[in-house]
Amino acid sequence: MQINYRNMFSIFLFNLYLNLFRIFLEQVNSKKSRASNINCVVKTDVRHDGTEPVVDIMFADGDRLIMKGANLTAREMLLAFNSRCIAKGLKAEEKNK
Amino acid sequence: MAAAALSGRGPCRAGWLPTLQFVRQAKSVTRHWKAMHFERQKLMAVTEYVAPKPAIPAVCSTPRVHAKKEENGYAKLLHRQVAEAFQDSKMIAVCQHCFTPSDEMLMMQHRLRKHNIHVKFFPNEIVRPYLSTSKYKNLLPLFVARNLMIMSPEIKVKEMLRMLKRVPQISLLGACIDDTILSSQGVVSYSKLPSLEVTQGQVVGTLSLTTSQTCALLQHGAGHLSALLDQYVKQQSGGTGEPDGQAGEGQAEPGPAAGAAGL
Repeated sequence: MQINYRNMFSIFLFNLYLNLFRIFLEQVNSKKSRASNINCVVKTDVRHDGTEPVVDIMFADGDRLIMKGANLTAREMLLAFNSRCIAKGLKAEEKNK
Repeated sequence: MAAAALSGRGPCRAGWLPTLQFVRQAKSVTRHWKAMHFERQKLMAVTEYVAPKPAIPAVCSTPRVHAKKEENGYAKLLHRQVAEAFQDSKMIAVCQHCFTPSDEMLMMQHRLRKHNIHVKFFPNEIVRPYLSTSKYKNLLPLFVARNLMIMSPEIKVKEMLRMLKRVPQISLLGACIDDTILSSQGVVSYSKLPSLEVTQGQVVGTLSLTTSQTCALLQHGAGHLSALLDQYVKQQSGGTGEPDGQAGEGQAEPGPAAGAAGL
């Protein structure tokens, strides 16, 4: 699944210990995804203190997507993320037109 | 002759046509595959050999033998390499390996190599069986997605952390330093610890401080008493030598005189 960062500003991931977050990070940090927006900052913070894992995504238009992954699968997170990226992309294209 | 023989075989109608007429139009032996005559096909199908079936089928009576899969030679080599790497290294760090451009990766490996730190890549299928049987069982949860291992026979945590800071795509998950499993925060605090000699000096200093304090405490009471007595003697000797000059002092300090009288 290719992810486009066209409208992304930064992504923060906390508590990377869980497997699904590692899968999510692998997809997010893949070559094509990173190439779609070089300006996007991806910061990771690995913790082992049992806190809930959180992904905080800041979009270029000021929106914020916070995913608390205690009971999520990697696929669900990626789908939610990708759908929002696509929606933002379509909006931006309409505005440009 | 033939006609007589024919006529001698009973009443035969002249000019009868036989029911079977063999048509000799197609060749029977051909170079290409030719299907059998339909009747012959039917005959062959009907007379096909059917082997007798045993009462108990062979599948039920004979035990299934699972053929042992021989391990790939490359897998054996990797197993050996993993075992050697884990035995030789004192510092083992496990990191999440996301895509890094090859030149950045090369530079990082080069810089680490200067400090005798090696970056190793092993597939999880090879590492996990080894870990489950060795003393590094608790590192198993880390080996899930794409990993890379940083190994070194010496413990140089500061240099490793400095190199990893330069490459943001690689995040430290955990480490096993000197047979102690540490988290990423543990590694950071380990790097901030002073060296062994400095720590030993601090411990020795703290122990000797307490003993010296005990000595001083024991001597403190006697010393204080002797100082007070000295002071008193001086005052007394000063008072008898100069009674006029010291009168004000004597009146100002009736306490010690009374104390001396009491003594």
